[in-house]
Amino acid sequence: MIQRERNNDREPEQTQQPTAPAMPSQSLNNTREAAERFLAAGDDAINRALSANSEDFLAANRQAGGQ
Amino acid sequence: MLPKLCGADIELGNFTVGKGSGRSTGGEASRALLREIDGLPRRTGYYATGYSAYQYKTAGYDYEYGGYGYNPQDWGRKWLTNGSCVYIDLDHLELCLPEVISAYDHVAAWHAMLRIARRAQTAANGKLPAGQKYQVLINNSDGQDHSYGSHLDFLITRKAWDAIFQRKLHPLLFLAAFQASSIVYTGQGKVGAENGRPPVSFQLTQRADFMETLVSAETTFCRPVVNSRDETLCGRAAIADSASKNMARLHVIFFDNTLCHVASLLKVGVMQIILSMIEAECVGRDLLLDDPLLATILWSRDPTLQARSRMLSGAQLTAVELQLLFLESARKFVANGGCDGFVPRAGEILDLWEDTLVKLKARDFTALAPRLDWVLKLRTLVRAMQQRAALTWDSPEIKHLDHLYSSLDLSDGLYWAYEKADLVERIVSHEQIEHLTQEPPDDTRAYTRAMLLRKAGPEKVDDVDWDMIRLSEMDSGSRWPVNRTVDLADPLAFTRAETEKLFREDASLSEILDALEIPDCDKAIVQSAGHQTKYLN
Repeated sequence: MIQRERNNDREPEQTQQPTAPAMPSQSLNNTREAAERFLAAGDDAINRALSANSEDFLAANRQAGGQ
Repeated sequence: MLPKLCGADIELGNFTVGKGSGRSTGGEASRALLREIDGLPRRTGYYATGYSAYQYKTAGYDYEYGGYGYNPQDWGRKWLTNGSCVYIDLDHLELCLPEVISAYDHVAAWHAMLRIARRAQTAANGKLPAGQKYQVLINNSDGQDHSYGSHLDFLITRKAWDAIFQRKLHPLLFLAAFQASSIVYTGQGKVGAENGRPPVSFQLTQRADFMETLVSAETTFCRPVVNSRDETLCGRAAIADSASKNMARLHVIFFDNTLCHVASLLKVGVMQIILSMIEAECVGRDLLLDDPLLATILWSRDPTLQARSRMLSGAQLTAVELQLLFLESARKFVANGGCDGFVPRAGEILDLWEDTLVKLKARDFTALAPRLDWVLKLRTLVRAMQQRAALTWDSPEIKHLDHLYSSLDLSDGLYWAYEKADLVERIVSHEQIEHLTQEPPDDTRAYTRAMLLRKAGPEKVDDVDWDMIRLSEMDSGSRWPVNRTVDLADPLAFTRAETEKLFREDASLSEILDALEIPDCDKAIVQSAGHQTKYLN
């Protein structure tokens, strides 16, 4: 089921936006539309959040260390 | 083997927005939240004096918040009649879930506790001046080098506990390798690095930066991948027939808080299966990592899921590849009946685990966004940056969004926006969650604890812990209270099926205690109950 691969050690790659694997164009379009619909649902919440002062929020958010 | 009963003790981020004082507001925020949660107060400190709770009440001490006793890691603990408790741990509101056996019940109980906390937040905010707000974040770090835990607790056999921590190395490494690679579905995601670790734009987990060693008993510093705190919460081990004799509690401090139902279910359910395998000594030595701590750090910093870590065998695997190997081994174990009677719905958990790993291997993030927090958060942040060219990973606005993903408040929590739009996968229904805000789980001692608290009420509840309740009634023939201690040592006993018939409406508390065969203690002040209370979770 799983084929192990042996590669040399390497450092973690820089953060990249995850990308979907290649797929047929129709399927790709459908997936893009679904993703767009999904992400659009969060737009209002993003807009509301970014209407506040982010620096003030981050300054207030200093917590005590916990467990 | 034992059923893989699960509890959780989870700290929240809490502070006040709009005060502008520049000082930490965690303490006042957590106290304001706790004040709004109904529960039976629990005292700290009076054991040292030999005075009973009754005398404390009559003496007029501040009984609600623990009399004179003060423990910064266990302040103001209240027990709720849904089997849970809440308290303040180092300025964080801590939610302790009632014991459950099913991972599905864990998800419902977790979201039920969040609803209780949200109702407290709403009530507390209603008392603040305009422009101020108590903010609650369901996360594990503040972005300023402070972390707080989302701990899970699993019932395992004493033999398994000893094997992991005292006798063998490979069960410990098996557990560590599993946990390290599980971050691909248990992480909430975080912008940036903390705790002196090298800069990074985004990582899978919030806790990886704070993992500093493989194993230790610590929880506030030098945090380990595998925590060795040995605290059973199953009665007195010194009693020969105590349930705790063969029981232990594995205290897991590794994981992030998760909001997605699927992530939360897999975090507990797969762990239950893995622990069953350890108990059965079904531990594949080909699944051990050379350095689980380094692998955790490496994999957390790679949202592309391509980073490889070295196995003891010399192989180099991605986290998903290692998880697939664990899955393959677990499939065989479950197929041979290894989880029968110990992990409810193990087959369903396996199927969901496999489907999630297959999607992770294909990097099908569109399909994964409705079920994994780190994927949903990453997609949200990337979209925000795509729509606003000025924003980068270093922008305060992006860190702000990172925090607000997990805001408890429905009006600004990004997760809840997706849930409200019915775009995240649900494992449990609204009704199941709401039920557990009021009622205890049926199949653990949480049921009897909750029912006894209801029956006794605040005037008769002298002390409560996970494995005992001491009740106090005034004896009509003397000045002294009669104390009776209910021993709830066995977390798998005292279920609804066992004790529901006792709690009929017309039954007195004494009749119920008699039926539970609780002996009278004595009619004097309980100088030493013999019960060693356990405050730390």
